[in-house]
Amino acid sequence: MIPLAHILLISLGIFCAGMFGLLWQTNLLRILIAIEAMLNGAAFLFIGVTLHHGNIDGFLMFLMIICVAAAEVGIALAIVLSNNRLKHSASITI
Amino acid sequence: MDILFYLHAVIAVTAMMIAMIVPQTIHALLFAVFSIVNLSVCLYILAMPIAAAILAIIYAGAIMVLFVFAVMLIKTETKIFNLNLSSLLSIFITLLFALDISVCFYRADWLNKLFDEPIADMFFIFLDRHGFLLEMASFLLLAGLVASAVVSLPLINRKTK
Repeated sequence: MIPLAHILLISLGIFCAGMFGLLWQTNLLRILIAIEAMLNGAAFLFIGVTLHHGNIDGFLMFLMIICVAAAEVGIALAIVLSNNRLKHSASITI
Repeated sequence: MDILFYLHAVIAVTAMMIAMIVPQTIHALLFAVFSIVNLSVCLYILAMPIAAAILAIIYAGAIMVLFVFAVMLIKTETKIFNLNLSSLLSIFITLLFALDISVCFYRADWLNKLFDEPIADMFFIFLDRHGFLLEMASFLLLAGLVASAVVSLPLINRKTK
């Protein structure tokens, strides 16, 4: 039996890796990958809480996060491609 | 099985950290896919095979492959990791956040509350009791599809003129 604290630490590690990428990167695609990492960490946290509490709500939130991530990636990549065609760069530096 | 879980978890976290600092974008994507597959193995070991399959199929198989296609279309510059002011500031803010959340996890008493409801048939509950959430998720995906089409529509028109 894995303790809940260890699952929380793993999700925190993935979330913090994504947060560091979000703060440090200047490329739009890399920032999107970092946001996906943060969403992934949050989804893993919900699964851990589902296993710990023994109810279904965390799994439903996991499915919701996956749907949000899929919709967000579709829109964000369209915006990134439009930005790339207009500015000929994917960098966010001024 | 616990050793396998910890091994895959450490690999997942390390691969995600490497994905954030590696210079090339395509290498970052491959490391992120590697991390997500390891996380899905962790979920499988935790006796959540449906969540593991969803994570592997949708996250690693659909979302990250979409990123790979976007990388092919965009000329991305490389950024090599070195300890300058911006990276040190990013590390400091991230560590501060991790410390803050760790203290919250340690102090919170909601971790010890146990619910009595057992894990029943997941999709029956999902379709029966939480139908509104399912409808909302499907509308969200439809809105994402329409919005991405609308965002890229003027560019197509401009190109054809």
